[in-house]
Amino acid sequence: MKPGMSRGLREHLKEHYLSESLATERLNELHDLLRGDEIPQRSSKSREVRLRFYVRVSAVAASLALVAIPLSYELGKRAGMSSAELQASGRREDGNRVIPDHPAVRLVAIKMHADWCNRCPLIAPIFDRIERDYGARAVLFVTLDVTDDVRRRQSEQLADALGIRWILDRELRTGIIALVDRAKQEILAIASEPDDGPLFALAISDRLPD
Amino acid sequence: MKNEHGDLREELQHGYRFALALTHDRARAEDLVHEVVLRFVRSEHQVTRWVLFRSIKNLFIDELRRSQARPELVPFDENVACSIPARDDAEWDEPLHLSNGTLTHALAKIRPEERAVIYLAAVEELTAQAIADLLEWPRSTVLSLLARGRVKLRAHLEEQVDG
Repeated sequence: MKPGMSRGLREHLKEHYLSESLATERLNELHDLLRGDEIPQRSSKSREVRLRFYVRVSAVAASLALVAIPLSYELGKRAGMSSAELQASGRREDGNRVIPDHPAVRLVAIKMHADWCNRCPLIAPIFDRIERDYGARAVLFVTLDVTDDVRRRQSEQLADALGIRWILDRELRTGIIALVDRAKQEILAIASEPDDGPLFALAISDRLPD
Repeated sequence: MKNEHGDLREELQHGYRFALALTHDRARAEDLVHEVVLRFVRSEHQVTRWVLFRSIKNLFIDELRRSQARPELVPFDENVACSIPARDDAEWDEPLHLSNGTLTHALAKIRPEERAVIYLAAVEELTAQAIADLLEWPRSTVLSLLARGRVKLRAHLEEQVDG
């Protein structure tokens, strides 16, 4: 606002708001997303292509260096569980599996959940089915609940402990399942539709050792 | 398909400014726009400035309700509209001497819904009826918010000038 300008309130308000703009890079990113330039449309592209797109995007998304955090005891401390409880339970109160940290556990399937999300019930069966199929095969299944500030903070603590906090910073929408490589901090695949299950399972099995 | 709609950058900038009017916080405004854009990614809805505005408003209210940090955004008390005399439009153009940052501080002190209707009236130059249609609020509520918002904004501005 230029000091000393004697104009009407309307003009001051116009100048105030019109001086505010999204940064060009951010604007272009949102614009491309909105126009669907970057995301293959369901009607014209196969879901396999869409999945490949997400894999491609993940390479761009990964920017932070890996900070390895020993999972089991760190997670237990942050979640307020004793090491004995942690070893014995295998599953936290919020339903997340607790498994010992190991370099082999690189894949994390993350369900982005909120109670108010209409799409979450549609996507939950995929998560449950894949967890049944792959839960014992070096894949960690985690639900990050962002229903409200309290649950979001708990999810942030859990994500910190798992070294996947960056996924929350990406502000992915709820009602999706993301497969991430926590060593490389990459999103490998995203399931966002009820029938994305087989492709998501394929994305997991392709990355598991024989 | 959305690809047919051409360049939407200008609409996004307006959407961001409207979100800024609601939130009075750049980061939250950007988050709101981002979230709304994500909701449109798979939608077949035609994206226009007014569709963006309505979605931003709805999302903002949803977030308020979820956080339960504030009561209902608009009280829908239509009687309030009668308690404050409608100001003449000339008031908008009454000369006002402002220094740096004064308006920002004054805007922070009024309610989000008041900032929203003031933004739509002053910057987007919409009529009260158009604002009512856009925000899906009664016209009397819009008039009330506009009148109260302007009175409060002026009072806060004068307070800062006098102080």
